Amino acid sequence: MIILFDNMSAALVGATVMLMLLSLQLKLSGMNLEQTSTYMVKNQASDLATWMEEDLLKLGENIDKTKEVPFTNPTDSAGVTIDYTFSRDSLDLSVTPPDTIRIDTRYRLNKTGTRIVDHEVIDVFRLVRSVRYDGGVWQDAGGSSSLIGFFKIEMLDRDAAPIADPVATATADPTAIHNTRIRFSMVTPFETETTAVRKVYYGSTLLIPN
Amino acid sequence: MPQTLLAFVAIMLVTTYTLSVQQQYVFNQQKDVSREIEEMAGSVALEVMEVISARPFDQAVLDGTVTGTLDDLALFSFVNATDHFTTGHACSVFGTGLDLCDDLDDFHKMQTALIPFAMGVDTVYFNVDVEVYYVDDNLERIDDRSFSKAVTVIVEDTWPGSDLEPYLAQPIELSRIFSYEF
Repeated sequence: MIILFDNMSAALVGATVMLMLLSLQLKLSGMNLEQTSTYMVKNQASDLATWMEEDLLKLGENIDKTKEVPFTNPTDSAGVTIDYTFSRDSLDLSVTPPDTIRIDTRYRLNKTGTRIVDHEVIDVFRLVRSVRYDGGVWQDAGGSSSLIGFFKIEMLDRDAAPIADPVATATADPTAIHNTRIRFSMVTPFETETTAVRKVYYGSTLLIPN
Repeated sequence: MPQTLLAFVAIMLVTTYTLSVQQQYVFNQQKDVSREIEEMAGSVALEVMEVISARPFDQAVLDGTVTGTLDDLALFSFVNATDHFTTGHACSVFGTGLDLCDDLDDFHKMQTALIPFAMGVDTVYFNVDVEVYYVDDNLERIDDRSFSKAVTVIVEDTWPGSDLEPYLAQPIELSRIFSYEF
């Protein structure tokens, strides 16, 4: 104690420095946490977007769209799409006549719970992808993480306006549907009070191949 | 006395370090937000490009005056070297007016469109401008008619009803070349 009183100024300044270093350490930890959290969710959103784009860019491939409609109407509930199925045909040209296999792909959105994002309770979902071959049984074939906060698939006309009943529209005019639009958001797996990005957004408008 | 001076030097060093960390923190947050806005702007640009790409190459194609030969070049629209096409259309497809905008070049320097990026209850708005010009076989701008047109969609975030400046340091630009097929 005597030493402290003898060097009062130095002790006070030293204590202040220590406090500043501690608060700085806390801030740096928070920063790292936010960056990791944002990076993780960005990574997952990017993966999901990539394989969905690969899927949807093949929608209706090798199918004669004047004879059948290669998709179902997206089923929506509470503003999000919960079910969507689309088809394509594989094509084996090495045999005569060329062989085809019908490949159906189904996206289903399953609610996995709720999260508090920015003081607001929101539902979170997991997208489950299933495929079936030649009308067989559905097999699980991948999915997203359980962090989807919003998910919407829409079929658009040439003016990018959503079509209410795409199947009926495509049955009447196979060229009426031009694009598929997907939009989704994912929430960060964890957040701090100061987190700037609490949801990441993704959207893409994909041309339906002729 | 020397130790007090050293302590003050320490406090100055820590203060400087704290300030730089704080600056880095703000920079990171701005970068994260900008990256999200960029993602949305890219999505809007792609959608606008899809709308434009659904249009025929030129009014002559719509009018049915083309013959599917090299002579069609003379039929294509061309105004002058500065602006290859008529400007200022109020394209109904983007809700700015009643102009039909039914071929590629009708979108050249159209009236700025306000396009929402709706995501459930969250909506961000973007100003969209389009430029169209002829390009040669090397995809360089050429101030004369050619069989290829470059379309550039320019997207920048905007915040209607507030004084907020755009988050994007510079607008997102998406370009695509469309060629006349015959």
